[in-house]
Amino acid sequence: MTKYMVPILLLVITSAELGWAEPALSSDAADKIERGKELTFARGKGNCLACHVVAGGEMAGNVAPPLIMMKVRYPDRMKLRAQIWDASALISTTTMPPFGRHRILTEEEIDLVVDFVLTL
Amino acid sequence: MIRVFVIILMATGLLATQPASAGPEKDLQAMQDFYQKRFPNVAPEEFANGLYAFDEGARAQWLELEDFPPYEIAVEEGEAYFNTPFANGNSYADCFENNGLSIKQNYPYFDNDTSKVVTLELAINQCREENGEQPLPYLRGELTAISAYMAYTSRGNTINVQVPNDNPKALAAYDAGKQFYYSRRGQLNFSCSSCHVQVVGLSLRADPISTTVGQVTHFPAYRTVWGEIVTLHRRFVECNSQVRARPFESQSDEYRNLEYFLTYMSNGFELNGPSSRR
Amino acid sequence: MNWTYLILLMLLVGGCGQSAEREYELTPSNSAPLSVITDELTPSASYEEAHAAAVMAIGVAANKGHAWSTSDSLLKQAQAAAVDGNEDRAIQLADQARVQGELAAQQADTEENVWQEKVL
Repeated sequence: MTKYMVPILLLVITSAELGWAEPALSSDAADKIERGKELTFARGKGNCLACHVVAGGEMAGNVAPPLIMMKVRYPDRMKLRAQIWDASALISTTTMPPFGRHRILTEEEIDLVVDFVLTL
Repeated sequence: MIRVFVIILMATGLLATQPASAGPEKDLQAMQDFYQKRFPNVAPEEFANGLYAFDEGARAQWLELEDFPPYEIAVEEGEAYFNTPFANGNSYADCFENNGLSIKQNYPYFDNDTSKVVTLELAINQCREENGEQPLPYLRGELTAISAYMAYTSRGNTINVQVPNDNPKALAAYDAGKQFYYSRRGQLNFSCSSCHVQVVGLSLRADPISTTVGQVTHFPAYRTVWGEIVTLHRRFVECNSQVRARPFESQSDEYRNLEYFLTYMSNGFELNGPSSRR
Repeated sequence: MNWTYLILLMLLVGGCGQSAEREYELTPSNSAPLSVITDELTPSASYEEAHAAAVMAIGVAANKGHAWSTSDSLLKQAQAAAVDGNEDRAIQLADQARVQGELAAQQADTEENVWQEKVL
């Protein structure tokens, strides 16, 4: 856990300086985020809690960094999407499953997960 | 670009220092050194206790469970089966060294006649067939109980699996097991080493991941989640299923070779099975 | 500072960078996907065709010791759909099973080349 603390603290400071503001959501967008959350937490789908701490989820693992300050960490949405689609394209030895490349999630499901993860 | 460069430097560095087959002894040394460096505050013999080497809360619960061991019934049943003669008047004791007692530390071994790895469970069934009895199913029941009893009589013995350097077929079986351990499988794309080497000690959900060394010492094991005592190969089946790979059969060549490699990685550890795991 | 030395050094670094780039491009995880996205597959002409192709693809992966349980279950679902007379669904599922069989075989080939990189 401690190994993540420095980047997390940095992110907290950075985001505080940016003065992050929550945009108002349309009901359609809110619905998508809710579906993305379900996919993120479902053990048979994203099962992201197996490895990541995610706000609102219980029994989270610590194999990988907590999913926080995601908009700061991924200002480019497509980079986050690419990371979920196939993390091994960037780091070949990663233990993160290639959710898109191996068809663990459909393309639509990945978009929904990205929508949700960017709210964290 | 820089990142790519660094990754490649790392990759080529690894390749450069890693000959095709370093040999079992060097593998074992490298594996033990890795975990000792990774967990300088954990006594090496603790690795035989799986996740309980890392999680004090879970360890307390486990020790409490071991006060009334849930595998005790299986050991007693196993003893009764073990001592029941076959129809021809022979018994299991006639098939093994030292009457089958206190011998598990020598399993699995490489059999030159068949050019295959022989596990204890396989030897139990071979004994039955040599005496005109039907082989027992591997996943659960009588055979697991017999194996549990034989493991129980071997407690405290030091694992001493041999991969003779002058036997290329034995080395090939060991290498096949090693390749299995390091190869990603299943839709989720995990190798055994993805978890037990790369992110060892960290937690998947609430469970810290155990080390490769010391991993096989406690089998057959009573799993609370299964409510029964199971063999090492049943655990392999579970691991493969969890990463969404089609599992192999118990006692398949693949699992026998994997057991050969994995048990060699526990050479020098004391047998402490049967044991319980959550 | 000896300029020849510096130029040599730059060439060396540049050269490494070049070969690094090439090697990176060659890593299988970064190669083009075998098939297009499952959701957008052109469906096979018939269930029989889709089923035969799936069985073959899964068989190739299985022979390499890398079959996925997910393709097995997709194939079973496809068979059930076919029995129910839902041919479109049966074709779709069998095609997905085939794609997963291809991905599993690709995984086997990749691992055959890279597993030793992870050996301690």
